[in-house]
Amino acid sequence: MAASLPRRIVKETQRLTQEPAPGITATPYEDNLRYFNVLISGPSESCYDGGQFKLELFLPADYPMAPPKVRFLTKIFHPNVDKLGRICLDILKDKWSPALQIRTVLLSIQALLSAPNPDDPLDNTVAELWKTDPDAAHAKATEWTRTYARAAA
Amino acid sequence: MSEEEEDENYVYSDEDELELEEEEEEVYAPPSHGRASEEGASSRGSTESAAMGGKRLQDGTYTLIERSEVEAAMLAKAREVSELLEVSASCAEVLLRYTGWSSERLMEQFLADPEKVSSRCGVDKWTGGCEGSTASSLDSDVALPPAPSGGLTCRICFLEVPASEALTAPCGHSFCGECYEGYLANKIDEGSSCVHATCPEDKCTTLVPPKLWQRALSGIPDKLAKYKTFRIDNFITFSKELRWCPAPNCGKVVRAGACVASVKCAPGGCGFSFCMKCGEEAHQPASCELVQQWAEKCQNESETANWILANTKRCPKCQTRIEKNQGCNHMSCSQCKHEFCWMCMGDWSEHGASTGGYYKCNKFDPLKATDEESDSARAKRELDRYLHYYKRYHGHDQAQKFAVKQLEATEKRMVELQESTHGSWIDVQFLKTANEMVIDCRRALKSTYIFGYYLDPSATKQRELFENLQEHLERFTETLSEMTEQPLETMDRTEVVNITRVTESFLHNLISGAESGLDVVPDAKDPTTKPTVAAS
Repeated sequence: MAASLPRRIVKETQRLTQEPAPGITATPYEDNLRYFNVLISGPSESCYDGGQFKLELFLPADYPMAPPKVRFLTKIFHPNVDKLGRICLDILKDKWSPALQIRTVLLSIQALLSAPNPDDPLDNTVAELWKTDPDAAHAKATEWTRTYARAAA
Repeated sequence: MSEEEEDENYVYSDEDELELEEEEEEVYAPPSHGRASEEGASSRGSTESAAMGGKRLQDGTYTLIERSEVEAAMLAKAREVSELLEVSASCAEVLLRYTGWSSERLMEQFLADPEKVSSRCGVDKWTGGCEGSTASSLDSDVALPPAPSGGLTCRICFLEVPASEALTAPCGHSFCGECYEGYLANKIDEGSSCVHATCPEDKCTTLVPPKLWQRALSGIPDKLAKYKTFRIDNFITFSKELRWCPAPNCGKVVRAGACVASVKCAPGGCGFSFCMKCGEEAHQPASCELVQQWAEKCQNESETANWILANTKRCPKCQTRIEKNQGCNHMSCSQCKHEFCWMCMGDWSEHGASTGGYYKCNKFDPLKATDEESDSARAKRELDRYLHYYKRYHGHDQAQKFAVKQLEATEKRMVELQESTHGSWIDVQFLKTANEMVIDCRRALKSTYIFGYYLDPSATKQRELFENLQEHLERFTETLSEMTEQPLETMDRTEVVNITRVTESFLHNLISGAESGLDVVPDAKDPTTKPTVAAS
């Protein structure tokens, strides 16, 4: 293990692998322990149910004073996620607190899948559909989940 | 509130009242007036003024103040509010920041709903009364709860720390000292917003009190000093009567009374003149709005303008390329000795009053324009009109820069003159005064072309009057500029002093004339203005 890695990151990584949160796995790269491969399962009773979403998570040098950088790698139809997979979530920006952890961040993202927030959109076209025609939006999200986020993939 | 209070420190006039419509907090009365008479003006204490030289600034006056004085003023203001609201002084500082340092607005909002304002500001959990305000600084008057006995596991670094190494904010959340240090140091690196730093706990809105900052950063005093600087900066930035001198590397602060338009960073400052309202270089007679419009326009058009106005001009007679390196517009070609005006490139002989010629340089000739023309022709004419003004604006701008550079040489010349005439230092001051007058005039002339550009084209009379004033000032400025460049042997002190004085009165005439009744139309139907793209 890299000697320069802060104890906090080591501990967080240990806990993440030893007692993972339900539906979430996060594994660090062997050659870069600040870079994580993340898998989040779509929450049941949401349009993302049955999907396995890949994300990347990076801990910048000033972590935990600065928030981790997280991005969806799997294509997802969600009003708070844009085409590049960037996520609109307050705790990843100005509401970040150093008392938060990788685990809490990922749980928040999972919660965001259960409860999309079209009033604070990152992708306007998605959010528009979500507000004007929720049924169509949900159908599309379900379809994208089937197409791009198959659990087997 | 039209009565005038007879107080040596304080004159309250109708003008003040107008000012108060926008700037609710500007007027102060000494605390001896008590804190609660019927008027809204009652709570204005002069503690701030007292800290800054003992008396309130009269309308239209200003002073340069030192950083230490600003800090004292901030403390005084916070303490005053702290007494009125019965909160600690550092709490008062936070509350004042919330209302942009307006004690009036704070009073109103706080008294209406103290809980709401306190929790909005993150000070609802702060404890420690105003008795702390007798302390010499704001940094020790908030009580910090003790860390949990038996130590804790820091939620940032996950390490076990004894209670002695933990720091606890008024909200009760504890973290280890090292993490607190890192957290706050990181906030300081993020910039001026660090004054709003809250407890590191997730979703906790309690503001970190100054005392905790001091404890956490005791190991890195330069960071702590920065924190203090940011607090003072906040006070200066948001107090309407204070303003940083905008000149690079100056760092002085100007404090101005009501109705002050432009101020000069002097004595003891860098000498830069700027507008108290917008912070740009002084721009009388043009208004802040016009200057901004003009700057935007120049930005849009600068490519064209730069292309047309290269840095050099050709001598109208021999076509030699000439770079202007002296302030005066009276040019003598070094090759053919032809004398001409740098502005209009016409013969200089047509410019002097003595030759009976007419100095036409400041006028745009509308005769060139007729009504029956295509859009493109109109656009072309509009561009010509703009270029006419821009050229002259730019010319005076350059000349102003030369005149500023010239100041150094003037200092040397003053020493020389003093030595050669065995006079006193005061006797040679006229050289500097003249040089400074040229700078002031150049700056004002620059703005007259902004003013002129936006002057209502149909207001012929006003335009005539204005251009007349402008023309006079231009003529005297040229004369004075030329005089200040003369060799010392041929210089006539009395004449320079006279011309300086005359020029000064023309400058005042122009500014007061322009301010007292020449109407200006906004730049609405300007075909050459490109729409500005809103930032996304």
